[in-house]
Amino acid sequence: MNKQDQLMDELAALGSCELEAAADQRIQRRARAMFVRCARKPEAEWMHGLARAWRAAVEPAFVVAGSAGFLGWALSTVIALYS
Amino acid sequence: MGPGDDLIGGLKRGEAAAFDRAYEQYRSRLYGYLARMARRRELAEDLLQETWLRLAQHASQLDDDTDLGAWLFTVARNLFLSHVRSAMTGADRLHTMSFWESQATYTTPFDLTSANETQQRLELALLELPIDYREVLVLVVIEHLEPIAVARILGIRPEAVRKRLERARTMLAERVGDRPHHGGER
Repeated sequence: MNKQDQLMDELAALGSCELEAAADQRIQRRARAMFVRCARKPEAEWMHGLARAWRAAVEPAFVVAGSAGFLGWALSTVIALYS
Repeated sequence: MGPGDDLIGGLKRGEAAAFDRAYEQYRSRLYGYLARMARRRELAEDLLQETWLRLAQHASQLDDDTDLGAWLFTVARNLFLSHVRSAMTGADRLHTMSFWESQATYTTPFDLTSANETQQRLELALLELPIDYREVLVLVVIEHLEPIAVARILGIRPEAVRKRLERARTMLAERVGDRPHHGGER
């Protein structure tokens, strides 16, 4: 085992450091309360589904339809002008 | 993350027990990572709390195949980097830069009095490494994360993780070698 490997073994042995009990309890209590509050919202999953559907399908469809509509209008205007 | 599947399901369903299990499983590891990155206990605690609040807020949006450990470390890392960036702007930029680059002028979040001399030297040498190199050592060597997961957390390729790790090992060895053997340089 070379020196660097030995150093890495010693580093691995340092492990994690312990959070003070008071801070630990405070953090867990606050985060848990937030988790429960967010989980209780009945619309949460429904809203996320809607948001996903909007991003995946509705928004692109609006953009494509709007662009196609404008292109059609522009073309028809140009044709009407030159005919 | 094998047992993570069930955990993810529980988190998505809003089960408080699943949240408690996730907290129990990752709190020490996340705190260890944040403490070694932030080098200040209070800041590490604030960032840890923010990390768990993010999970609480976004648990229902997790994908079924989410690697919860990697997700949490990524959030913790992003919060830390945001803090560094915001600390680097504004009037106290120069002061902040000197803080981050200072050599052993900080107090560590670790109880070094209870560690033996080798551990103290190693911990202090680690804390002096630049952020990029320190974090790869913490994630791979101390937290035992797979290089592929670390690559995902850091947003770089696994090959780059290996190179950075190699460089970090060398830098750490140099720093440990440079340190006097009789503590007391804090």
